[in-house]
Amino acid sequence: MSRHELLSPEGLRIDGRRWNELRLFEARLSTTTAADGSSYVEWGNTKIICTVAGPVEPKMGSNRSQDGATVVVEVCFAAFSGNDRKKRARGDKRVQEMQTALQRTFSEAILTQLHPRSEILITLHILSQDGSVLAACVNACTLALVDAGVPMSDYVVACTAGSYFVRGGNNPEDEGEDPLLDMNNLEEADLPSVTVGTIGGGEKITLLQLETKVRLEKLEGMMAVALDGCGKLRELMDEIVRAHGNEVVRRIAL
Amino acid sequence: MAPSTLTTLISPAELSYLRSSLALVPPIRPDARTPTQFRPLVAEIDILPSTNGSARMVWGDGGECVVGIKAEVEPTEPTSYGKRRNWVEVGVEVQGQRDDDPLGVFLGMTVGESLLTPTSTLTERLVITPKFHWKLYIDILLITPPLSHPATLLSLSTNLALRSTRIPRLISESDEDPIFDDDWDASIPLYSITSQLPPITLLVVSVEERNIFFDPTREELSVGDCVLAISLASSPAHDAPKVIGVRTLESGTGGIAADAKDGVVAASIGGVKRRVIKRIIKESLSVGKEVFESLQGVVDAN
Amino acid sequence: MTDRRRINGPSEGTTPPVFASAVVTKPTPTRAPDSLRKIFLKTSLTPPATGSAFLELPSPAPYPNSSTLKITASVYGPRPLPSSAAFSPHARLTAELKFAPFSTPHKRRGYVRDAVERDLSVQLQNALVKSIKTGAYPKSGIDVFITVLDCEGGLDGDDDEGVEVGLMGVLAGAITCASAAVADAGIECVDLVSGGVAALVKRPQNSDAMDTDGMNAPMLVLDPSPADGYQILSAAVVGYMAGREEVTLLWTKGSVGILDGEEDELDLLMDGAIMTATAVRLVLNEAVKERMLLGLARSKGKLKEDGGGDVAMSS
Repeated sequence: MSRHELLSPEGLRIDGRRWNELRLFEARLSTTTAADGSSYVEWGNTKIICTVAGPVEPKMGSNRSQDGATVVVEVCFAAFSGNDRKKRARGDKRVQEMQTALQRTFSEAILTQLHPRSEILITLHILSQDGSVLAACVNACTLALVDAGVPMSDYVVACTAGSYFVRGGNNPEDEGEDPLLDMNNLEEADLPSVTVGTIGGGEKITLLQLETKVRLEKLEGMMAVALDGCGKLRELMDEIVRAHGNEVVRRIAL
Repeated sequence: MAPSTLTTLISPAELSYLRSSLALVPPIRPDARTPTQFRPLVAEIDILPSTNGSARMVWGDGGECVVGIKAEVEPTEPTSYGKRRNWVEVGVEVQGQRDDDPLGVFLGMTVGESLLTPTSTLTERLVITPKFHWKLYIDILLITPPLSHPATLLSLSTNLALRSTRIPRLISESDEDPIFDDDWDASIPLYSITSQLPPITLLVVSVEERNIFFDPTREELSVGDCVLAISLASSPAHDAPKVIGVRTLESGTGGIAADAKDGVVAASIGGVKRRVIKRIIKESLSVGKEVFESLQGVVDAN
Repeated sequence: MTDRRRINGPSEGTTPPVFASAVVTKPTPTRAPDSLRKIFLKTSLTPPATGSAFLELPSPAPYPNSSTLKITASVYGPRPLPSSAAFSPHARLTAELKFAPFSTPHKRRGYVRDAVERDLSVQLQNALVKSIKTGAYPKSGIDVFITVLDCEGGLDGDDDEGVEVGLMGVLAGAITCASAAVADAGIECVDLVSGGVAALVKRPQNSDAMDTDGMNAPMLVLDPSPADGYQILSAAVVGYMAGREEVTLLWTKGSVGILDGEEDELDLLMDGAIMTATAVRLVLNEAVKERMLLGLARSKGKLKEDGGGDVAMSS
């Protein structure tokens, strides 16, 4: 896939979106009855199941802390989730890095001091990956934690943004870089992208991950676009949570 | 080590109560089901676009299973004629358990073994050209450890996933390197309507010779005399399914109340008479037929 | 990421040349379908273990030096569970089956247990646990270790047409051997378990049955070996307690026909496997009896030594 096709001259991206459009974000809560909280997130073709167990008594003594609950995150990539079948070992460095990032993010957002000497276990199953996997994981975790009734200061929402280099052709003034919101797999493979996670969809950033080279002056633009996306996503997630809450209340009332 | 789904201890009094109610004529199951009744389940197929076939199934007790099947082209080595069993790879991942957990191994072996019986023509359909074949990866994800033994859940989900599996159509000549049709609508189902259907595995437990229960819960397993996993294959040409494999599972809790003077003793020690086993297998055939029909219903609904 | 710590082979792999002469033809069966192989079984051969046994089955192949089935079993326990383990009101039995690295021809097996070994271990454990009075040993562990030293050369099976029977033979041998070792360890049992295999095979072309009940009727073979060269349609292994007439384990492979009421393939297979197991039981009995007599003789000798000065004893 050559870079030129990622953004058509008309300004449409490879999947037909404009630069500031999110992919279809759909989520369901309480998908699994066996867990304390669970969610299923479909973001474009990225599909994730998240289950939360806790707060429970820690299985290992080392996870017991007097100060507050310990957050443990487990990420499992299904072998069939990518383009080629690939089984990731449990100690895979990339998976561990994701686990650590999520663990730190949610240790901040969860009011852990309310549950001392306990453990909150978050398990993520990535069924299908099509870009923005870490961001989708964050959103799935948030929804599952809400479902589990774990106290949090606000929604933790994450989104990605990338930067597309526009060649000027004959006119050098047209040359420049365009930010793109919500990267899919093809865009992520070729363009620099940044994952931004915020608490409450505002300006409070809790997670920032940049794995590619990007010009420093472009970073701010990318982050601004990603923050914008976070704000939009927070509204979407809030709608989903409220709709689910109403449904639960309606069922109890019946 | 025993599979972790079975290790929860139940008190001797509970065991005795469970066993005596299951041994009644007619028996009373803790959840008031009939002996051949399954727990309610939700199933959907073709859920993942990046796989050749997929299915998801949720049981009433919270067990959830996602199966994804991928087919990749692999060159056929001339020496490997006898190694066709390697063309299908089954991987089972149980959440919260190590990869080498005996439960996962057992489930994987059961699925793999029942798929590759000589009478199934699966490997013949995986041949692309004399030089290339499809390698089928069946990856099974048990998302939440269910309260009961996951064998039935897993085999039914795998069955559905296999039936939704499609492989691209070959457009090149048989002596060239294979090239496939990009059009997914032109792809060919791996299991066509006329071929033998993928197998299913049923878990059956017997109590006191006379009573046989299908789809047992963990509590029922722990007081059973004999637990069998029976794999069945069905083809449209034949009326009744055929038994293609039987395996014995751990039953009872290994003599938990061996000193008690009640019926629990018999449950924990000793095997079962052969006529019981024969009866279990024969009864599973008629139940298996119904299961195949309900699975067909799921496929037709999609 | 490339692995720089080890010297790896080419990632694609290479294919060794195959010569026409390397293609082996199947041997033709030389023994009668219902004949059983002679078994060598001896207990107490591993001194550090509480109980142990060794089992050997000769290969039916006609040529000399062909590989056989050799299995050793050692039992440790009943011994206290590790302090980290949860309370258990009955003995915990663990069985571990391992193929020796040199047990299979052509291919070396690693030291880490693979899926096949784990699967056989679990099945063996299920077959054994029902014969042991685990309730008599609370808070204890009984560990059974099986090593397969030689496995008749036919584990992977080189035949797509038939059911592979090598593993079943190994499991049956392991059950018999482990049961002897458990008895040798002096662990309380309700009965001994013996393993038996039977298979339904495609009738060989030159069979006498050609004109009678047709070519298609499968033939029952007791104690089949991968070296026999049959095309196996279905096979079964049982763990059988002959004293109580009870089955502790059943594992079948291959499509089995079942008819209502009549004598069908399932009956044939199971009864065949049980018949084999009953015959194997006789060998098991002898081995346990031999051990018991030896133990008696030893304790008598010891008594004599101890009581050498006692007038009443020596008279």
